[in-house]
Amino acid sequence: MRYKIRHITEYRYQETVSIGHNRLCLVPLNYQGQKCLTSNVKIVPTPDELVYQTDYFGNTLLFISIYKEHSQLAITSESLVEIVHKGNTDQALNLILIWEDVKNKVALHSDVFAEVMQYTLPSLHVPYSEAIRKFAADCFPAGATLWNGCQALMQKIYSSLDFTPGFTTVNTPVESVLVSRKGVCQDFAHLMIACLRNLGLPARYVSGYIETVPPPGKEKLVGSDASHAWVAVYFPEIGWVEFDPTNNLMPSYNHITVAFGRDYFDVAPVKGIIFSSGKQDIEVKVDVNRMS
Amino acid sequence: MDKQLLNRSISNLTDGYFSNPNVLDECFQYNEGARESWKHLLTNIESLGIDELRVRQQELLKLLQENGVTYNVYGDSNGLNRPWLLDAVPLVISAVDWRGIERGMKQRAFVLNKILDDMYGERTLLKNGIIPPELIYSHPGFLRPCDKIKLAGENQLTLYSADLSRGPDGKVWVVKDRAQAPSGMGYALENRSALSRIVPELFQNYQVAKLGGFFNSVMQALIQIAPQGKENPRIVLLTPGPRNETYFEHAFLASYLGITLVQGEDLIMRDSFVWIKTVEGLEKVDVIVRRVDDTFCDPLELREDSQLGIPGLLLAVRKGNVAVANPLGSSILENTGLMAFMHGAFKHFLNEDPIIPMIATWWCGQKKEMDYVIENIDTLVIKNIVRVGGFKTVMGSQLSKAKKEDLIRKIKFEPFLYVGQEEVAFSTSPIFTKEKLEPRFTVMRSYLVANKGDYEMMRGGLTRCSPEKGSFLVSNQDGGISKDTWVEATFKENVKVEVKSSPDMKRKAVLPSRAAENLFWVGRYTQRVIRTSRFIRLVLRNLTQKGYLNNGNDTESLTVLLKTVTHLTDTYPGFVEDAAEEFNNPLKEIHQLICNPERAGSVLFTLNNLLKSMYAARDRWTVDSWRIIDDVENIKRRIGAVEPDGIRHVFSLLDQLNAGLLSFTEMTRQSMYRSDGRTMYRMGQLIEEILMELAQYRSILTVSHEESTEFQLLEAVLLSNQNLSSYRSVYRTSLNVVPTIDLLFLNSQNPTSILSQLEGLLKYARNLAQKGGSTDDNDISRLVFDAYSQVRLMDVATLVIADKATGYRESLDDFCGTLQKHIYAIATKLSASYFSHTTYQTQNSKEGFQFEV
Repeated sequence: MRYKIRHITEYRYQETVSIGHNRLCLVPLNYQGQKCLTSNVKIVPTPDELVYQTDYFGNTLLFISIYKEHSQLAITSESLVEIVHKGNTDQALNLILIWEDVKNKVALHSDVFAEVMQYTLPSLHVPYSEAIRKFAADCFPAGATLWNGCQALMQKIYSSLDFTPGFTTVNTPVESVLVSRKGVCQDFAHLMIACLRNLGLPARYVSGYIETVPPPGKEKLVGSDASHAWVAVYFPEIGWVEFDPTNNLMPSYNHITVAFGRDYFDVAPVKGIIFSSGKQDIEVKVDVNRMS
Repeated sequence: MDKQLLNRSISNLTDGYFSNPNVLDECFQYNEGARESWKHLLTNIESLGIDELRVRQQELLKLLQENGVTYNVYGDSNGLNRPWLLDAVPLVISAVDWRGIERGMKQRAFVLNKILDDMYGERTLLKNGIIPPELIYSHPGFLRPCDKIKLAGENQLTLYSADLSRGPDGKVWVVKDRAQAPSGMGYALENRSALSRIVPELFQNYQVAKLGGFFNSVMQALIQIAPQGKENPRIVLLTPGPRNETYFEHAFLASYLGITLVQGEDLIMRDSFVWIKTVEGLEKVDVIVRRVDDTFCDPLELREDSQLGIPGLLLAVRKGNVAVANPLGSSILENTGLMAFMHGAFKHFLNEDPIIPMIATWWCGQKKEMDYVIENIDTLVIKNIVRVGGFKTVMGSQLSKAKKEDLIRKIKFEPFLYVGQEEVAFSTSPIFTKEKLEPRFTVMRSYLVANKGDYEMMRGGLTRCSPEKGSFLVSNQDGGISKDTWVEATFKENVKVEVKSSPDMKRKAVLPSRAAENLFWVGRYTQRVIRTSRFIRLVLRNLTQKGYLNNGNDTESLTVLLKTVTHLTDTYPGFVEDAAEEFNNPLKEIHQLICNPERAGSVLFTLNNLLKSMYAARDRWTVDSWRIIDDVENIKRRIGAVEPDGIRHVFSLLDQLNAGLLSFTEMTRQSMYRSDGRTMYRMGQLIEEILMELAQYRSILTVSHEESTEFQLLEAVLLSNQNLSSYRSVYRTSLNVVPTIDLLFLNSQNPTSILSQLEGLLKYARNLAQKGGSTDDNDISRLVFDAYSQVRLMDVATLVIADKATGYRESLDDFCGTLQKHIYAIATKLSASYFSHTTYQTQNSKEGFQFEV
């Protein structure tokens, strides 16, 4: 499956910005059956400095700096991504891994799990919490397989949370999402990660896109797609297996991965510092189009 | 001295010294007298005598206060500064003891350096299980954006510091490591210089190791990490600013080392380099010595809410274009849990045991250790692995049952965040108090600096003692008392004490924009305080001498003068509103305008602003200037204490204040000769002078009065401008408005005439213009010239024409008003062109996370 993605982020500043630095995390990853064939990030005004770097997690970051006064910034990221076969779900399904064994193995700090174990620890948006532990407990009864536990958890989050755009912000704590039971895909993902980590299981945040299918008979609207977020769980011997709790499904051919991190903070698509004191407006448009 | 006599008088000093024979004392042995290494010192104390020692102790504290040596306590309502306490009796460390300590600390620095290198490199310590990965990954000091960053050379850890104490068995222990921005070495240096100046007798017949050499090595270490092996790097010291607890030290070290003191807003990242914003433009920075915690250094990639950092700094660091010492990410070494795994690291890197043991530590991230900590919680100190943060270190034994249970619950919930440590056993050392020596618990902070793959140790340190007998609290936050630290030198040293040449001295000194702004405001506030206090004093004199409201003419002139006070201090409505209540009791309002620091525009209010600006430009003042600032601070306190009915006391205080500020001005004139800093400072002074004068003239001279009133007013104006005698010698007429205006505005012989001041301003403005590259003039100097020519061409005879009916001199008022606006425009333009106005914010993120299939 081949996708063409266009992700536009536009800022309008009330007061002129004299200097702006941005860290962009917009270039899709190359990994496991996903290939980023082309990636092109266009920026207006033209940045004075533009540096590509690979971060700690292996993601491609783009740092841009603008040193001339500007009152608008438009970032257009266009990429062509081929998905051969996403996922190792079949393997994960067929492997009998008892979740407590996984937890204990990872906790042993052996060479193999030295890096992976950091995804069992709290991070900025994913705290350790009694409430979350309680919420997750019945999905992982003693002796359950990791697969079944994750499926149950994904199902539980999907059915407990109302998908409600605009109710939460990027800084809403996951514990209050658990109380309000409302949120967007970022909240669904953070909650699932928090549940897994609170049980001692390694889980990470996946940022990317999803192809959307218009209602039958209607044409697809331009810009109606969105950035998306889901979860990857570490299965020893297999690797990271992805789960989409917002949609209660296993990502296969419709999910395009941009980056992995501990949580949203590590992989925010656009993050910046501007030298200006005025207000700002932001608009984001995403199109995901299937090429074949 | 006779030995017997010595023993006798020592016993006077130490009467009842030992209260707990189980505690080891650095100086005295229980029932056995003093240790050998202290005997010289005690002899010197003896010959000085107890009375004299007491006098010197006072002098010592006075000197430190005058030098402005302070330690700020955040949230201390007594204002910014807490005086630095130094005991007259130093801590002595014998040459033999020192050799062991030095060897051990070098070994420890070596290993910590290797750990740091590994954490941001291969992480073999984690892969081999020598350090549990959880301990590192759960610590906020492990900065993932800093992965794989390397400084030039073998040392990643440039400066290292550790607190040492001695246990009852006489062994020295490491209590804690400081590895990201160790503080205190400047205080150590200041302690030594104060002690040797005030009590030189103590040093007789004793070789104390010198400290200066260490600071030379610090400079060398900083030069060595400069990018591309640059020989003459630009080095800056990055401070969080005047509100930081050790700001004094930042300013002190910067001027001692001859490097530039900067705050985050002085620096910008551009084209992958870091630049300092100066009055003359951008200058490249090669090395940043930081006193800002690492997570605050780059809001783009680290803490977004930090206003102390440089957005984009990490980009420049990763490109190798700027070196930061200690490197960003080194706070991982301050992880208390590491203490439990140091033995393994010593084995791994050196195959040796630590020479100096460290406090026994159990990291709760391991089940067995956690159980041990919970079981023995009554005998342990519980700490979070993160030094700063919400959790305060507690002694298990001091917790109530409920608190203890709560703590245990927390530990079980996130075990990897906690350690249990043995309670530290401190030794005591004698401090001089109440005519006696008393034992106080003592900790010494030691300092090491990277030196070609190895480490060099400061032969001395910062010793701190508990303020209360029997208390274990020795930190500065808790009001601890410091001591000079004497390491016995075995041979006569020949070390340069002064840093003879630092790289920045070979370079042209730069004036960071923020420093420029501070100096400009020091200039302005100085003149504002001088001018307003002088004028209010004059009005107050009139009020108290003449008996207000007794005489019709006096009343009229006084009314004008009181209104002028309001104009001058910008404290409307005040006396300006007709039938203002203030007129019934003018003394009350005048008292407020002098003594109430909360009242915007009052003398004390402006004085506080002045002191703040002076403090923010701390590194720019000589010790002598600082002494005057300290005096002014004292006068300020006394003015603040003046009650309304004791207002007559304010006269002499205002005189003292003016005298103090004038000598500050004079001192500054001498010491800041011809620098950009002086230009900014002088422009501030001149601008304020002109504005103050214009406010006075507008209020007093723009209405003509009946003769005797006019006489009184002209006299007052001339007096307050200190022009009365020159008026009489120049014009030899009775007071008249035309010659007065001539003298105040146009007379170029009069140094405070508007014309003379504008001439001065023009000179400085042209100076600046030339630096900016333009050959002669720029916008600012043109504005000044414009103002200058307006005054030069003023026609006094026309301007003084008054309306027959009202006496209003409209043309003069307009003239002054226009000029005022002009001067304000100059100040605004100056600020826009040369001062930094960098407020930045994070860019919003709104995600398109709005989709569900």
